[in-house]
Amino acid sequence: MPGRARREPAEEAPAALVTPVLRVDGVSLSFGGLRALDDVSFSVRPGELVALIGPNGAGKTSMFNCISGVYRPERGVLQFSGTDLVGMRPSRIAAAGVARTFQNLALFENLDVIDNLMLGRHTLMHTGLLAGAVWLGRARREEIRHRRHCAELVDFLDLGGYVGRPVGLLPYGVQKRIEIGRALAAEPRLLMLDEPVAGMTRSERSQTGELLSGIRAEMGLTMLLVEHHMHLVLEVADRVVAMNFGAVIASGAPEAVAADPAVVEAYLGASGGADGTGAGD
Amino acid sequence: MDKFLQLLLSGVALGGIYALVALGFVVIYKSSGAFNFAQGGFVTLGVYMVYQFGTDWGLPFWLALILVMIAMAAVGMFLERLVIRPMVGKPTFTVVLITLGLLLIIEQVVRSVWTTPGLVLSVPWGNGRSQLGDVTLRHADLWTMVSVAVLLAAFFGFFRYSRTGLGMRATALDQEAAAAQGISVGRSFAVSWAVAAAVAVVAGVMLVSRGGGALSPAIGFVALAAFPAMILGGLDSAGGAVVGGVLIGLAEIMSQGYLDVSWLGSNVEVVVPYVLMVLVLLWRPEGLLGTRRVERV
Amino acid sequence: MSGGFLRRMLPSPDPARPAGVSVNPLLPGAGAKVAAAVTVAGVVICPLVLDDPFWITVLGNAGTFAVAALGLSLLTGFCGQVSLGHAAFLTVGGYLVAYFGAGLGWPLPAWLALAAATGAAIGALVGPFALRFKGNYLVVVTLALIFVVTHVTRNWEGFTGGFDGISTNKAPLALGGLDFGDMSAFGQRLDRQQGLFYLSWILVGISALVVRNLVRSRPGRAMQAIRDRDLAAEVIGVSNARYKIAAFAISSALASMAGAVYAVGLRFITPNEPLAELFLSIRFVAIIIVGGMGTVYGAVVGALLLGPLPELVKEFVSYLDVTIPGLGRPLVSDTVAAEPLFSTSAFSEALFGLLLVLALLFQPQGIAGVVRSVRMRIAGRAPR
Repeated sequence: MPGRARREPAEEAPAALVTPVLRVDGVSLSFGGLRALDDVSFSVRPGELVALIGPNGAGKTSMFNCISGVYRPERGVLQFSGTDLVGMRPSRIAAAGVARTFQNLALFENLDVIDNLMLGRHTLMHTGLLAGAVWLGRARREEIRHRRHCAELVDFLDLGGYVGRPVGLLPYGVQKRIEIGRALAAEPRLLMLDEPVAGMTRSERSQTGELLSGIRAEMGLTMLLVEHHMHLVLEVADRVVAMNFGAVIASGAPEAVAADPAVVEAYLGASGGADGTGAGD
Repeated sequence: MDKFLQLLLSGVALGGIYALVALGFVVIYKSSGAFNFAQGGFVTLGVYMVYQFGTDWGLPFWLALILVMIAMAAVGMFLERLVIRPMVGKPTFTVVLITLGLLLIIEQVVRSVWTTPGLVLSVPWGNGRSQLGDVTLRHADLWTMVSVAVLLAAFFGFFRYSRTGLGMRATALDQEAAAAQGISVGRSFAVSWAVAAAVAVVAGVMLVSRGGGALSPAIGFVALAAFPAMILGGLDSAGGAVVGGVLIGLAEIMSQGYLDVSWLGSNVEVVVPYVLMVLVLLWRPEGLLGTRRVERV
Repeated sequence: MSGGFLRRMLPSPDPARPAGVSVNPLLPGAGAKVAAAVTVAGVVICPLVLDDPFWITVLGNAGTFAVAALGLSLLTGFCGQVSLGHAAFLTVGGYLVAYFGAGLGWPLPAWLALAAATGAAIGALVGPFALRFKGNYLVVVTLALIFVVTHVTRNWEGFTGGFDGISTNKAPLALGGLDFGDMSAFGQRLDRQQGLFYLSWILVGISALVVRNLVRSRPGRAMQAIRDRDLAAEVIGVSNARYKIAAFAISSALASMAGAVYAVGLRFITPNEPLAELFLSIRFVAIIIVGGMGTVYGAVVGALLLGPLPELVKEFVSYLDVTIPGLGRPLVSDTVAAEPLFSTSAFSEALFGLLLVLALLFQPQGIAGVVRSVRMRIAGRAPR
């Protein structure tokens, strides 16, 4: 198992005393004989921004899907603040405080910005069927309170000009931003972003980079980021976990991982090297 | 033992009818991913046209059958062009609803054209039957099984070896990718509707001849029993349609023959296919021979 | 709206639309208020000024159809679950009122509540299937409901009267001091059909309010999320199980209540018609599509326009009784001897099919879509 010995070199003594927000230990997953994840281990500590990198098909999104409960790993441990996630339904995992975005946009395209953000707050709200149907007192107050919160978020993300229209009709870059907003609206304890700058122009990429730094500065969130663009990763990540063919091949400080021969080879070997490293940006 | 063989034979023959209808569903599902509720309408319209050409106008039966199959293929292509093609790229359930609308229209058109009640279709094998030991073989059943076998072989060859068939399989997997490979999505759709409508004629003739030749505008309802057959077998598999059809036919006939289900009331066989379908689906959501799909986010 | 984290870096928002978010989602626009007031006034006045029992019956039935259509609208239009089993729930309600209302003399609130509760319970049982089966599959699985319910109504003779059917005529219609079967309003005595008209439209009002409140609040928003992207909804915390089951239960409860009131208006129901039929289910699908999916008023408008179609065809058949040149047969007639192309029932069935196909081809957003585009055109003309 190449790179296995290099696993978790950044695990220093003081950090080990802190319960990690996310602990992934020996997770394996396969689809009909095809290994998607092979004994993957890493952890994310409070306040940290960890980036998962690797060429297409390396298993990054499969890892995300395991954490959020879409796939169930065959082996291994997934813990969120000490709670076991394996076997939990996705909606319960979200309620526990894990929010994420998706590689290929997954907004509710017929609803507007506010409704999408409000859905991000679904697990923070309590109105049930009966209260919703009658719409008196508490249900109404709750709705207004949370809408106010979403209005602030709209302001923060500068989405004010897009309110009231189905989000499916909005430009791609705006939709990407709304999706980050939807995850932020949940006030998560772990924010997972799956390729937040995929398909963006260079200027949109740098905007999103600033947005991520802004989110960290203002909200102090713990984040797990899947990204192709090494440029963005070097800019924002505290620590990097590199994957290839479903296995971790390197992890540690961003610059060290970027210079790791196994990582360089993985990126050059896969045709993803051209758009992947983003060295030209 | 003789009773068992007799029931087995009837069950397989009835299942063959379901299979014939289900094959029509499968070919359209394979190309467009939509259920065609109008298939039952095709069955009814087809067999009435065979009656018109053959029994009423006196053309030889086999000639009438072939002419009607060609005519129905044209009808299928026409309807596809008219109301299905514009829906390419829309959610499949809108296509399903359109075929429901077509079902209502076709059934009423049949009622309006052939108003005389009690029409009887004559087929060359008539009500003939042969005795094999203690087992009676109805010729109608024999022909049903022969046509199932021939069509299944034809489907297999078509999807495996012909350009059009391969193109249709590609279209079903990914319309955009197929188009990018130079496969005409429109052509795949048109061919699948033509084939489905032509197969429906055979299904209708076999169904009616099994019942002694009596025609009724309601015979298309058999399609509603063939739905479970298709789903049971696995939506995208022609072989599965036959397996599903035969299973449901057998379940129906065997339960009539061996179980005293009178406490369940009369006509319980209408419900049996659906119960069987739901049970199988709970166990294997993709059907017996269907392809399993991984959901992606 | 001032500030904004990315203000400087982003393309400026559309100037035509003022930025800002209404924090109170419950302030209806002036147009909606006027429309609601006109509808209420129309409903109150209608039975008083229309003394033609035909129209009272037709419009009353349109009301019951609207209640059931609101249910299907919630299920299909807002939660994205296509069902062909809706008619089965109307049948359930119809037989409940026949047995418990007309037979055992249960009062109106009791049989109505029983219909709603039974509908909700059966709907909740169907809900889990919607977790397993999606799209095409669900259409066929819900179709099974029609067969099962028809089978039960034909064979459970002690409860349903079997093939002979059962009377609903004696079902009590009194609600406290108000007897819909024998009421008077504004100094006028109203007969049973007029009373039923009011009963159905009161139910329309309540159901429309319930559905509208739901879709504007947390549970209804969750349903719409499931409609748009079920897996993503689950991942962000919306339990598909809970809300799909809820949507089926509410939708079925409304259908069952509507079926009960509809059956009382029919006076007698049999397994053959007009309740548990695939045709009736398709009719409801046509109603919500023509009205406009994903809107509350669309279901009511669709029910008003399409619900009474068969009755209207029957009533005005003489206008359609035109001989087709060259064929020598009339288009539609209710006399078989005239050898019409279509019988009245066949014609309305074919008409539903045609309307469904035309709506999906040319106006998939239904009447609500037309209203929306007219509104936008008016708004577009307003000075910027």
